[in-house]
Amino acid sequence: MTHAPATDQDPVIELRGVRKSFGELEVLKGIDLAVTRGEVVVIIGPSGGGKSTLLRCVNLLDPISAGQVFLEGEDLTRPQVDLNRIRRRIGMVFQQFNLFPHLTVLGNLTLAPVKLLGLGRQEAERLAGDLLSRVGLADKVDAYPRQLSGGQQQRVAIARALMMSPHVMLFDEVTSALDPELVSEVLDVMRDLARSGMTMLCVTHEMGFARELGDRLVFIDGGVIAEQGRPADVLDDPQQARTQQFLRKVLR
Amino acid sequence: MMPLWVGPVARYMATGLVTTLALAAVSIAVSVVLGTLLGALLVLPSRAVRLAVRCYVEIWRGLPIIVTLFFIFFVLPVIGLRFDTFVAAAIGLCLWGSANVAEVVRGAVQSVPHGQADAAAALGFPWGRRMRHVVFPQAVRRALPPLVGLVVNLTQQTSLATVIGVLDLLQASQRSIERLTLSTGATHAIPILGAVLVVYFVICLPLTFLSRRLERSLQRA
Repeated sequence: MTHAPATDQDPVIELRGVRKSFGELEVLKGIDLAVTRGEVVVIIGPSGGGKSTLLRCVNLLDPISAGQVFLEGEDLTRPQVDLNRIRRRIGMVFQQFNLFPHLTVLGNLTLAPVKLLGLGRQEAERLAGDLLSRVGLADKVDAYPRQLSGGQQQRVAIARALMMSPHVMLFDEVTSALDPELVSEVLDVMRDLARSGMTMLCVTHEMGFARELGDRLVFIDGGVIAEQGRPADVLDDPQQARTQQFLRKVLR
Repeated sequence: MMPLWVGPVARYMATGLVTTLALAAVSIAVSVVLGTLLGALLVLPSRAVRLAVRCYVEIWRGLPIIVTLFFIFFVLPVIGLRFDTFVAAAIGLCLWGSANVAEVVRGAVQSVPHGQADAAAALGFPWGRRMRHVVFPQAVRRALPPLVGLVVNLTQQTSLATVIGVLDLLQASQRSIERLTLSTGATHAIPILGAVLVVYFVICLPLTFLSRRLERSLQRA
């Protein structure tokens, strides 16, 4: 499958020497990673290897211990930077959905654009309707999250992130908490997004998704990028012993 | 035909009841407002603020209310702070009540899953608006059942004001019993204290019911 050609070779996201420690434990040990516009980068690796931490360091939900993070050339780690303003351009979808349970689907989608971007309520609701149709949930505007299945909740979460017109989307194991039969409906939405040219950074266990839609596969183990390359190359012919070992386990 | 003493005693105890209700109302209002503010401070990122509020909460929650009341009424006058009995009792109850409300509010805020604040942060909400739009609305629903329980408790604890001489419902009943015993030679403790019991029960029962209903409706949500 081909993507819209990248129009801009400057990286959207760039990590330089990113390190992250929790107390004594160093989870990321110097990560360098650049994601260009329109690129879909898939991150795989054993649990505890730092994949999710890496994603949370991109928008600094977890402050990093050393290194730099750039969004479209802007250094997010400078002390005077308005991080909250920058985060609007980075959409994030979580393993546990994290929809706001006290708001309806419509409320979940319109909260941030109305409160943060100053979008008019009518305009926000129209945009929400469009995005809900896009993820196949136009009939659920007035539902509360608890009334939806996991797959539906995750699709709402994706639509909520898209409401801010992000320049890049982060997906943190978004299908891992789903019943197997609900995985594909979420992957369909992600496929649609990837094909529309969205820049995406995805932590996932879905090797089929990685192979089909990933422009690049990054294998993270022990807090470093152990191997990266075209998904088919890495999956079919891994060069590193630990990549081979990991893939044997997950592809068995 | 009711005995002659019933009318005057009932009127006397009614004034006591008014004092009890006033004391409860003041204590509840101040405790909830002050306690909510203190509870909000307890979840602030600033360690110094949290530490200061934590001291306040632990002191007033840790002391028996009766000890606090004695302290305010008998010790503070030594340094020139003299309060009338009602004010002294109200201060003591507010200190205890606000400390406990603060703890309930803190617990409710912290019981909202971290993912909620994460999601709001990822959308670009600054800390204060994360709290206002996402965390607090959920915390309020979690805090309501324990808060109603606390309000019931605070209402009951107003009876402690008796020990520093506030003429509340309990004090009025005590004095009535003593006077009747002196004047008639017979004790009327059973009907009078029985009435006290019923009145406290009638005040607190609806609140207890409300608490249970809130809990049930929250479980459904």
